[in-house]
Amino acid sequence: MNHAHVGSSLAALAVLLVIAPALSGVVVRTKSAFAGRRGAPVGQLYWDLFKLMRKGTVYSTTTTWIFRAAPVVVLVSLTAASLLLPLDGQASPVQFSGDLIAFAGLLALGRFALVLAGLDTGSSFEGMGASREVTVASFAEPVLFLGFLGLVLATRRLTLSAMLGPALTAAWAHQTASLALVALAFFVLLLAENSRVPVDDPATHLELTMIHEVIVLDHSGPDLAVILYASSLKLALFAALIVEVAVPRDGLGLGWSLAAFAGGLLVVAMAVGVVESVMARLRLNRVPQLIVGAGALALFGIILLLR
Amino acid sequence: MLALAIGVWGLGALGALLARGRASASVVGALSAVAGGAAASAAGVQALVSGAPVLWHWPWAVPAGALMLRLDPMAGAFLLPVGVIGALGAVYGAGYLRGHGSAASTRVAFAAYNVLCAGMALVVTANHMLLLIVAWEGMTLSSWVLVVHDHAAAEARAAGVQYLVAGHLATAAILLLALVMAAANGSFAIAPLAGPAAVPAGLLFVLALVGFGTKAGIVPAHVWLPDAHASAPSHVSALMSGVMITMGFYGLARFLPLLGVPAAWWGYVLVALGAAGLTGGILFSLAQRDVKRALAYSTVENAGLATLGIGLGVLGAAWHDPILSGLGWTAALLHLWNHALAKSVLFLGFGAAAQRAGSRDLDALGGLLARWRWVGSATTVGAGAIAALPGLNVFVSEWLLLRALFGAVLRGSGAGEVVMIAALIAVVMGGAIALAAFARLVGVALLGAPRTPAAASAPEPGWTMRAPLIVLAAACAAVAAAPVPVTGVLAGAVALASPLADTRIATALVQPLGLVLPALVLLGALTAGARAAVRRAGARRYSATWGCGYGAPSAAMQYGSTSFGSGITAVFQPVLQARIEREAVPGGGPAGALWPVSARWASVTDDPALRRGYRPLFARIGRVAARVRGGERARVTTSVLYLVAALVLLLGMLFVPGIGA
Repeated sequence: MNHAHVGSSLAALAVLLVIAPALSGVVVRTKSAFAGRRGAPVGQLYWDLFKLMRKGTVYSTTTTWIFRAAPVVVLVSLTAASLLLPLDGQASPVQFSGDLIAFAGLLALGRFALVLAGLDTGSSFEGMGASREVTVASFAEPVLFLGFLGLVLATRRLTLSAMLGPALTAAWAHQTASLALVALAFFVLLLAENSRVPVDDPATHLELTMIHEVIVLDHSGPDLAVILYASSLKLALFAALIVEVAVPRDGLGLGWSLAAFAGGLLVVAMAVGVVESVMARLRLNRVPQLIVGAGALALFGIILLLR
Repeated sequence: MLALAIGVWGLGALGALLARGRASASVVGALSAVAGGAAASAAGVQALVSGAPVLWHWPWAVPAGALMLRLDPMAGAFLLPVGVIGALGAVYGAGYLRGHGSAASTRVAFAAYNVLCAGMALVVTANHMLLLIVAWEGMTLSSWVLVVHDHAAAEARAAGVQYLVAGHLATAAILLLALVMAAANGSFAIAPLAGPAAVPAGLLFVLALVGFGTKAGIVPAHVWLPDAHASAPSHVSALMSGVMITMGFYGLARFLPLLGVPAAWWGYVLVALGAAGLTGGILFSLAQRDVKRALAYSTVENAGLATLGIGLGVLGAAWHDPILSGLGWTAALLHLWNHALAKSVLFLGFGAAAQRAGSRDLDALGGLLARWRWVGSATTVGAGAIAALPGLNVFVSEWLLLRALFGAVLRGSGAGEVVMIAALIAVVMGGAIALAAFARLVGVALLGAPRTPAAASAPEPGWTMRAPLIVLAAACAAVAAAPVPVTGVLAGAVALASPLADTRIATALVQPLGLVLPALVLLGALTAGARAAVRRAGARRYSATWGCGYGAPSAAMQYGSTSFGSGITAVFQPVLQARIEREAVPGGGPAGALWPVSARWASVTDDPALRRGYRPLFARIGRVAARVRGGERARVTTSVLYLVAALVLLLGMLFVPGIGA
C-alpha cells in the first residue's frame, strides 16, 4: 500500500468521524418529515455534545473503575474498528489477512465494556439494558460473520480492504443476488446493533422498554458525551459497511469517492428514518427471530455462491 | 531438569503428608510444588526451543514394563502449563486452604496436589504405554482425592464417584488401545503402528477418542467435568480445568499420528463433537447459578474449540492440505495454553470470592470489585480474555481458528465446504454467547451492590492469593502482545502432531495481532488523557445510583444470575431443558390459603446428557447386574462359580484357532 492510499483512507476516516453525529440528526429529520413536524436541526447532536462536555459529572457511589473506563474503551474500540474498513473504497489504513475477525472482535470489546459499566451501577434498569444488549448481540454477531462470509466467497479474499475494495466491483457483475442479500442482512444488523426500530426505539421515554438508552442512564457530563458520540459513530460505521458493500467506488477519484461515501451514509440514515417512521417496534422476544431472519438472508446469499 | 521436577514433587508429597501441623504442611507442600513447577517449566521450555528429543531408559520390575521417558517438543508443549499453573496454584492454595477444612485434610490436599503434578508430568513424558497408564491412574486418583476434599458435602462425594467411574471407563479404553497397539508392534513402547493391527485404525481412533476425550471434556463424555471441577478446592479446579483436560488432548495429539494417515471421517467426527461442545458448553455455562459450575461448563466450551482445531488439523492431513493442518493444530495447541492461563485466573479469582463470601451461588456475591482491587481487576481481565476480546490472549487462538475456517471455506469444495461453514457459524455463536456468559459472571459476582451481608464484608485475600492471579492476568496480556514467539515455539509440537503440516504459516499470520494491544493502549491513553483534561475543568459529585424515580432501590432489585441470561436461555430452552423447582417452605402456612405463604423457587439446569442418557443407562446396567448377581441373596459360592466359569471360558479360548496360537 502506498502513501497516497494512506492519505485518502485517512481522509475518508476523517469524513466518517466528523459526519457521524449528523447521521443521527438526519434520522430524526426524516422521522419529523414523516410526522409532519419541522424537527430538530441536523446538527443538534453536535450542540448536545458541546453542552455535555462543559458540564460536571455525577458518579454513583456503587461504581468502580470499570464505569469510568467504559466510555473510553467504547470509543477506542469503535475508532480502532473503523481503521480496518477501506472507507475510501480502495484500502484501509490498517489491513492484514483475517482483519475481518478483528473487526468483529473490536465491536465485541466495546460491547463488553458498555455492558459491564451498566452492571457496575447495580441498577435494575441498567442490568435490564445490559441483558438485552448481550441477547441481541448473541444473535447479531453470527449475522455479521455470515455477511462477511458471503463477501469472502464472492471476492475470494480475506482482508476487508480487498473484500470491500476493488475485488467487490468485479464480484457485483456476477454475484449480484448474493451481494444484495448480504447488504440487506447488514441493514437489519445495523438496526439491531444500534438499537433502532424495530428492535428498540431510541425515542422512547419509558426505561422498561429501552435497550441502549437504559444502559447509559447513569453516565453524565463528558462521559455521556463520549458515549453519545460513540453511539453515533457505531451507527455511522455500520452505515459505512452497507455503503461499501452496495456502492463499489473503484475507479472514482478521491473527491468523487468521498462525496459518494458521504452521500451513501446520508441515504442509509434516511432509510433508517423511514423504517422508524413506518414500523412499530417488535415485542422483545420476537427480536431474535428478526435477527435470525437476517442471518437466513445472508445464508441464502452464501448458498448461491457455493460452487 | 525433568527428573528433578518429578523428584521434588514426589518428595514434596511425602513431606506434606509427614509434616506436623497445617502451616508446615502448607509450606513444604507449596514450596515443593513451586520448585517442581519451576524445574518442569524450564524443562518444557528447553524441549520446545531445542526441538531435539531427549530419551531416558531405565529397567522396571513390572512384566513387559520399562521406565522410558521422552522429552520432545510435544511433551514440552504440555509440560510447560503443568509447571506454570502447578506452581502458581500451589502458592494460591497455601493461602486458600488456611481457612478451609482441618489440618489433616490440608496435609492430604498438598500431598495429592504434588502427586497430581508429578503424574501429569509423567503422562506427557512417558514413552512406554504401561508407564503412561500407571501415571494416568496416579493422576486420576490423586485428583479424585482433591475432588472429595470437602467430603462432608454430599455433592462432593457424588461428584467423586461420578469422576471415578468416568475416569476408569476412560482408562479401560486407553488400556485396550495400548494392548492392540502393543500386539501389532511387539512392544509397549509408544511408537507408530509397525504392521496391520488386529482391528481397523478407525476403531483405534475411536478408542483414543473415548479414552483421552473423556479426560479432555469432549462432548458427550464431559458429564463428570462440571461436578468434579466445581467440587475441588479452587486452586485444584484451576489445575484440573486449565491443565488436566490438556492431558486428554495430549493423548490425542500423541496417538493420532501413530495410527498412520488419518481418514477424513476422523476429522469430521472431531469437528462435529467440537462444535457441539463449544456451543452446548457455553449455553450451559450461561444457565448455571453456581459460579464454579459456570466456569467448568466454559471449560467444556473451550475443550470444544480445541477439539474443533484438532479436527481441522486431522482433516488437513486427510486432504493433504498442509496449511489447514498446520493452522488447525497450532490453533488447538495455542488455545489450550491460552485457556490454561485465563481459566486459572477465573477459578482462582471467583474461587476466592466464593470462599470469602461463603457461597458459590452467584446471587450471594456482588460488589466485590469496589473493595477487592487486585483480585477483582485480575479476574475481570481473565473474563475479558476468555470472552476472546482483542488485546488479550484467547483472541489470538480463536482468531487463528476462525482464520483457518475461512481459509478452508475458500479452498474446500462440496461437503467439506459446507461443514466448514457450519463450524464457522458454531464458533462465532459460541464466541458471542461467551461474551454474555462472562459479562454475567463479572457483572453479577464482582460489580453492582453486594447481594448478601457476607459479600458486603468479605475481606480481600492476602498477597499469597493475589500474586498468582496478577501474574496469570499479566501473562494473558503478554501472550497477546507477543503472539509471534509464542506461536513460533509451538512449531515443533505441531510438526510431531501432523508431519505434513505447514508449521510456519500460523506464525506469519498472527504477526499483525501483536499490534492490537499496543494500538488499543495507545488510543486509550490518548482518549483518556483528553478525557482527564476535560474532567479537570468540570465539577465531580458522588451520589447513589439513579433509581428512575424510585426512592428505595435495594441490592435484591439488581439483575441476577438467571435474569441476566434469560433472553438467551429462553431461546435455547429446547436445548437447555431448564426446570423450575418450586415448593412451599415448611411452616409458611397452609398452601392454597388466601394469603401468600413463603415459598422456594429455583430454576435448575442440569445436564440432559446426564439426566436422559447416562443415568438411565447406568441404572439399567445396575438392574441387570443385580439380576445376574441373584438379587439380595448373593453368596460367596455363587461368586466362586462365576470365577470358575470365567476361567473355563478363557481356557477354552486358547483352543480357538486365531486367538490361542
